[in-house]
Amino acid sequence: MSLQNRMTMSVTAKSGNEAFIRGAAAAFCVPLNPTLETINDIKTAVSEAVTNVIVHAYDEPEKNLIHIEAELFDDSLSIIIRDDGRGIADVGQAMQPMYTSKPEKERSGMGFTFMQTFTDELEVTSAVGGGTTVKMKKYIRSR
Amino acid sequence: MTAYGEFAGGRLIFFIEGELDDSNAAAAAEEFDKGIECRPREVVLDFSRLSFMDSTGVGMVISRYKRLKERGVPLYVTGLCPQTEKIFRMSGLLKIIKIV
Repeated sequence: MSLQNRMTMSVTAKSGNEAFIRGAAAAFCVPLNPTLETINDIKTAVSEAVTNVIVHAYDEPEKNLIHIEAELFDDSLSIIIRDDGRGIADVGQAMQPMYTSKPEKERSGMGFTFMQTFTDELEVTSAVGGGTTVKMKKYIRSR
Repeated sequence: MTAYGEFAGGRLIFFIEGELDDSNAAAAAEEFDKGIECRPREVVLDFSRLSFMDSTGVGMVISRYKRLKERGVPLYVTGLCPQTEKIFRMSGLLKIIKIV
């Protein structure tokens, strides 16, 4: 497993940036010639992590940032989506399928489930008042 | 994202095109809710030009399904691409919404 490329960026935490961020993550993997399914899995997992930041992390998301750090290895993508927001008091509860802290908003509560399903490794660390870090690893199946 | 409905013969076909996520799901839902004001007998979601959706889209679809179910109106889906089909399958949506 050798490191091929690295990327770091911080983007305004607004929903209009979701397509840009998942598209950037997908494009970052192109040198490994991933299958369409792998590209779609990465876009979906990244979209979920970014949506969580925008919906839950900040009182005023548009005045705050989402941080993305990615490393491309010869067989995999490692990507971190991080915020400086309010944090999650109970990560285990938040990761339960169908759990949502905002049921009135028509949320499915499947964000973390999709991150788990569409990647190979998921690690979530959070501290109340200290932000949340989501680290995902996806092995790249090449065409 | 573009969302619009076409009503004919008691059936509402509702198209969502592009990518469906948190930035536009509310707008798509609003259009859908306008569309069902014509009291269709059945509703078909035409996703043949939808290339991406995430769990925000799932929440939006489940809410519409529940509203229609309360009125006794069946909801179907057509034109799923590999990504949206996987989302429908993984989320369990395919257990409640038939592909036509």
